[in-house]
Amino acid sequence: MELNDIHTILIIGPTTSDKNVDLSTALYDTVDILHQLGYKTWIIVEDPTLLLSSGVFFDRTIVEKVTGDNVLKFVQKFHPDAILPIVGDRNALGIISSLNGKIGTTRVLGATYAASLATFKRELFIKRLNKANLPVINFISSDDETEIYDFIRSIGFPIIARRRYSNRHSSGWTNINNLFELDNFMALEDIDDTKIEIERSIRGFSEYSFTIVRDRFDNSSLIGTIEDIEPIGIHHLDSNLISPAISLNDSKLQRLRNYSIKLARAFNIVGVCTVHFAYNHVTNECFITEFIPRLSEETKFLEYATSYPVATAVVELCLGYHLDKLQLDAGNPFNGATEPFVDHITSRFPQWETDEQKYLGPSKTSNSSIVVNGFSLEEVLNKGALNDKLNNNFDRYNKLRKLDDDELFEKIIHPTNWMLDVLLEAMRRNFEKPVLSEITGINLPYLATLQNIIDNSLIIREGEIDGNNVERMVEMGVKGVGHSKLLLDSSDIVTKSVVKSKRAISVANNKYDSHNYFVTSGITNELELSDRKKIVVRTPIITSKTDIMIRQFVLFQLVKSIDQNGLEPIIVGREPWNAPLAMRQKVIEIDDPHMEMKALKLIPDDSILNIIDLSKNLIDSGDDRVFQFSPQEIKNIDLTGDTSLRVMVITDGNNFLAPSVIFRTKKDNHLYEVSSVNNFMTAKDRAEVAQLIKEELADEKKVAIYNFEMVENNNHWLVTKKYRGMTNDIIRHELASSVHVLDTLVKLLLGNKIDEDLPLEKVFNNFDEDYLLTIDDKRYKLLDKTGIIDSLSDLRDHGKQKNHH
Amino acid sequence: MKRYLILEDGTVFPGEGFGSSIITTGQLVISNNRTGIEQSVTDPNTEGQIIAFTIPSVGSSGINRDFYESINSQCKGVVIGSSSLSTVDSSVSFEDWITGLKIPGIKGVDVRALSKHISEHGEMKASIMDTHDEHAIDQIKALVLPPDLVKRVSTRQSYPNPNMGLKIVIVDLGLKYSILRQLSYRDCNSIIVNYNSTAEEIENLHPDGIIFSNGPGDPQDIPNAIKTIQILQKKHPVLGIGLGNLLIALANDCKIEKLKEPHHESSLAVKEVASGKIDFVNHNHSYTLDQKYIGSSDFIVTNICVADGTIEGIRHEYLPIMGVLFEPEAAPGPTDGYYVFDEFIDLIESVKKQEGARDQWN
Repeated sequence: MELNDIHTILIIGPTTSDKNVDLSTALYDTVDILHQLGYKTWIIVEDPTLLLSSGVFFDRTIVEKVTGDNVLKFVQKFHPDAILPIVGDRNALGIISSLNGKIGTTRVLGATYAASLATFKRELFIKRLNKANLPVINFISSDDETEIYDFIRSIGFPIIARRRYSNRHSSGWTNINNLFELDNFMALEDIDDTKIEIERSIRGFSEYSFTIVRDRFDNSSLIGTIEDIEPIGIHHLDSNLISPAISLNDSKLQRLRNYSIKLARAFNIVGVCTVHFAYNHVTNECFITEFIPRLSEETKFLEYATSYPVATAVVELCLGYHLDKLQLDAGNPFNGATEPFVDHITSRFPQWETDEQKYLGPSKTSNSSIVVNGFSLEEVLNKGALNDKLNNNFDRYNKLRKLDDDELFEKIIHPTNWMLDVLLEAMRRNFEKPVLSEITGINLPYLATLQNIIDNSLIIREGEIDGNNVERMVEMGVKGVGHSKLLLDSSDIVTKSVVKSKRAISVANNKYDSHNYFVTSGITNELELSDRKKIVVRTPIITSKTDIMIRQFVLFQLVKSIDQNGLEPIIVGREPWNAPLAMRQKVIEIDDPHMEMKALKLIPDDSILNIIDLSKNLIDSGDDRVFQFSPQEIKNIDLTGDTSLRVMVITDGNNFLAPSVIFRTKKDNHLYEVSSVNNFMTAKDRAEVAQLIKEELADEKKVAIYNFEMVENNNHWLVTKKYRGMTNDIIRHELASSVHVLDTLVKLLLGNKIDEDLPLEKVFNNFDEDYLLTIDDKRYKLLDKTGIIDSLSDLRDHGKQKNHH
Repeated sequence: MKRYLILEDGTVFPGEGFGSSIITTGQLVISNNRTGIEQSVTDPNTEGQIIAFTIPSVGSSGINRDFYESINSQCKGVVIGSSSLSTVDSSVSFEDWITGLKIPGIKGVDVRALSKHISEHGEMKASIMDTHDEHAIDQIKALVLPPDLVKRVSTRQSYPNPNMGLKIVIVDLGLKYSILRQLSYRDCNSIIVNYNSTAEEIENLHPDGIIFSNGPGDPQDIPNAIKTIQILQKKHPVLGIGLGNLLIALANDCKIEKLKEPHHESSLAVKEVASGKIDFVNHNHSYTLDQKYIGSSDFIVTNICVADGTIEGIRHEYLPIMGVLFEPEAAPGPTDGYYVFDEFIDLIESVKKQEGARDQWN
């Protein structure tokens, strides 16, 4: 049933912008399934390290700036049958809307022109929604004062207003609550060269987002609902998110579901569409605020929450597959016609890099997020936003406790990222919940939950713990291993800490198994382990985009290699990692926000062969099985040179391999970096580098990874930096090196040895055919062998000439 | 207060009691409904049942009297994991509501483990009690659940739901108000009658069409209704919903069977066989039609469940009879199934047209 005129697909990849959501797993899944179904895939991407693989899947990888002009250029040159924008974030939709009428018969999959354009053009969005009889906030853009006042008379206050200048820029939105404020706003600037845009204000409405998938036969399925704890007015991704939306009753839920389906139909979106709603529970008014016809943070979050393979399903739907006849991989069917029902709550809590308070508003300020699961609101709040190990909440409590009531009230009126802590303190002081709800726009069930949390935590602090309330604490996620252990005395239950699966429960797809788990409370354990020996990979909390990319990449390669070596990979982390779908059947992933798996011995200790720890500080350095993966600086000499090498070395404690050497040099004020130069090193360089490594490793008796930086000084190499463990260079090393270091590491941990007296060619061996050239750490080029030899000699000659001078 | 949910097979699930503190016994049913607590608790189909809701944070969305599916609550007990202490619309909280309805409840139960246990071992009797000794378990085993569930929920007296359109007689086997809502929306002039009404009594009402509603329990417990259908189906368009559909099948020499995994889910996909169109509808049934018998009968399968291939809708080859096992009136669940009522009305109208033509001919 799939579209049979499509064979080659150009994927618009993500840009390197830090503002982008990390969709690397989704991108991998998308390409993986396309590849398996026999499509030729081309991708345009700025940074090939985002691809999580050495690019084997892609029939053509174009490393260029992802812009409309470049996409158009490649469409005209290579004539793909279709363009796929859904993994390219917002930028890709912009590109699609700019291609209207320019790409002939090339199809656009997923988001149509109209849909892409409407995500940018407010007027079009409103017009289309009005036409489809969908609720949308009325909006006016005018330079006529009478028209503006007439419009406001028809919608009433409060409103939000902004100026749009003739250069297409605009001012920020201003809240206007009455005629006096409006007059002031209007008098502020001369209206002649600006237009004024006015919308009814929906500040304080509750925010919901519904994600549906739709096939080309008009079958749709609601794959998840998310609600924001914070109201409209605070950026969606700065809000604490809860899935499923628990505060919608049946009629509200069905109303919003029907709107979402109608919207996808109105724009003829085949694939995925996330629709955002503003809902007022007092007046039952509801508006559609925006829609996202692509993979996004929401789809990623829902894939975490329900294990529904969103990315894979969506690309198949785009290609014309019937909703109930999807495939997980070639030959493995999946029924997409299911509305995943979860019996647990999944929450996404935003994270900020620094600990100070930040005022929240319509623009995003958070740096990353943490996702936790639980069976009650209390549990997810205690594990996530109120988890002291993640947010320093005790420190916050102490600061907030010193405020007087007026100061605290001030903080309630002006929301910051400490809002939940502030409200917790307000609950402790018995502030009125309905009043707080009205001021903050946070719905009563959340305030009642906070009240419950503070009431119970006071029991702990006052030392009134007994068997009964400890059990309640564990149910509420107020855990530390200490409390859970107290339960051992309880007559009813041996212990309440168990591991439960994250999969959706339903009659549908009950054969589709995923091994995503979370530590929670209950009476039965669902963790199913094979009888294979295990390697546990422990992951830390991450806060930056680079960290995310490294984690995605390293975990994927590690898991693949552990599995291929006949062991069972188990990933345990404070927050979840969703493996690409192809790996999801083979890896066990456990979210463990309180890090209690080990203490509670939820995995039989004797089945664990090794523990690879990615965190910076080890908690159990005494355990021989623990391998610390993150870098420890051993040497750092302050010597810089124009030309340097970065050498990655892996040793079994006796011999070593150096499968990846990166060459770095400066030329015309630019920094060039070439991967895998080990293939092109002179015999002299090789011997010298090998000798240096040997000296540096003299004391190492265990399996280890080392990273060296060597600077060229008077025609000799000098070791200036030495790290034990893996540095951020890992992706470039691994992408470049066909001798996969992570795989070698796993093999060595299993007790394999590197051969004695290997010739230097073998030590530096690397069979690569693609080479990566990086310019100024942000522009990338993929080169073949001749290309790399040319640019290397070019760079080396330049260096020599310079030395000569 | 510590209480226990004890299953017939002796499995014990501890939790905390709320609501009424009486000891209760009933058929334990796992409900995977996403929303619609009010509908489920007041649904006559849940007569005699202890419902275990698997949704987390039950009751956050508030309790709305307008969503009731009958005047009173019907179920014998509720089992939940976690509940919300307050509601988004400032209505009564879930626990207070259950207390007001005088239903026993138990919370803090590992409902995931419970639902897994039931899907492995099948639906069974259960009790909510204060102790969990052997005596208690023996008591549950010995208890026979009453077979007259339909009798308990069916209206004793006929009553009208007047309107100006087609006259529909609804045989109340456990009628949900939402069926009446849907019929009212389509201007149907309905009369609701007791489940034991004879064919003659119904015919005296001169119906344009007859609906056998959904209801609780085993259809084989109400043989009279089967006989009534056998007489009426030859003369009038008939729609069976849920239990009504099972009765229609039994009246036409088909067999029914118990589902290995019962359908109690507010949003499960059903495919229209003819068009391939997928609809998400509310399911609440433990029985289904035996495929072997449907194949050799005069029925055409119109809908199947996408998840497990269960027959969800049938239509007679030449008589104006149709039936669906799912709940087209939703409540709770997506509204995709409303078209069933439209189809039934089309069926009635086309029958009327044919009769009109025949009258003219004569």
